Amino acid sequence: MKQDILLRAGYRYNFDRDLYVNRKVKKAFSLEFVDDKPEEELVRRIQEASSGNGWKFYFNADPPEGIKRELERVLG
Amino acid sequence: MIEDLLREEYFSLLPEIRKVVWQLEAEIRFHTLQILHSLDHYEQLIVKSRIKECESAIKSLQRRQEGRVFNPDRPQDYSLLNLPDLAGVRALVFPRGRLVDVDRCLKKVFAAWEDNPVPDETGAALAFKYTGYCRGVSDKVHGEYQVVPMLVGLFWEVEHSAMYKPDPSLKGIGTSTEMKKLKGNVEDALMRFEAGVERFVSENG
Repeated sequence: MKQDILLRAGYRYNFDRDLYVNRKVKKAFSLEFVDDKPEEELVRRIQEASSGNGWKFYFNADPPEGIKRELERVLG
Repeated sequence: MIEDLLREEYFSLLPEIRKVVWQLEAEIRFHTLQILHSLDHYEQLIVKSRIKECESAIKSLQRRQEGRVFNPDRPQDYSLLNLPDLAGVRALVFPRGRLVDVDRCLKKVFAAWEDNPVPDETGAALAFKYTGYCRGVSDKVHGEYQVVPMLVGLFWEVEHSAMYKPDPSLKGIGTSTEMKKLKGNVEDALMRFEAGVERFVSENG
């Protein structure tokens, strides 16, 4: 199950944002992305390297800068 | 802040939302009057209306955004007018046979409205839901009416407050797979009860 894959990879569900978040690697997957993409793609994305200091967001629709900034602010 | 702009929009729209909900409720009561007067003593038809509350409307709009945040750079992208259910009316009907009568009757009156049924676990229509504009009242604020099996509708009233407007201690209950399954089980049991009553009446009535 996709949820188990994410939990095993250290992601926790953020109920306010409906995101699977891993603060250590600064990566987040939207609920819509997780629902719509196949397991293989999810695994591939989890294995992708994080982007240094900034957060990496996996959304169905690439989030604009304003959304990224807002999410970075609320996720800390 | 976008939330403040939306609050401002809500209160400027409120008089129009009120007009839509009153009009819709009045029309639904009027057009179902004949059915109401022909009900057997064990059958029921109740019409209820509600105006979506301000904070609930803002949260509902926010839930439609991936990541559940508004883009602070694009406040013009957001309007509560995109919500289909600022003004809502629900007809609760018991039993199922009468629900079909009410739905058929209202469908003729609101023929141009968009049909968006509420599915059960199997994908079959559990309740009927329609969205559109009340002509001559507002061409901005959508109205929504639902025709719902009464037992399921009363269950939803309790379930909705727990699942969608939860206390912080119940955070996550709305997305819990176990709770979704339990909800499906309750709806299924209530529908089977309705079917049982109808069967009993047709065999013994």
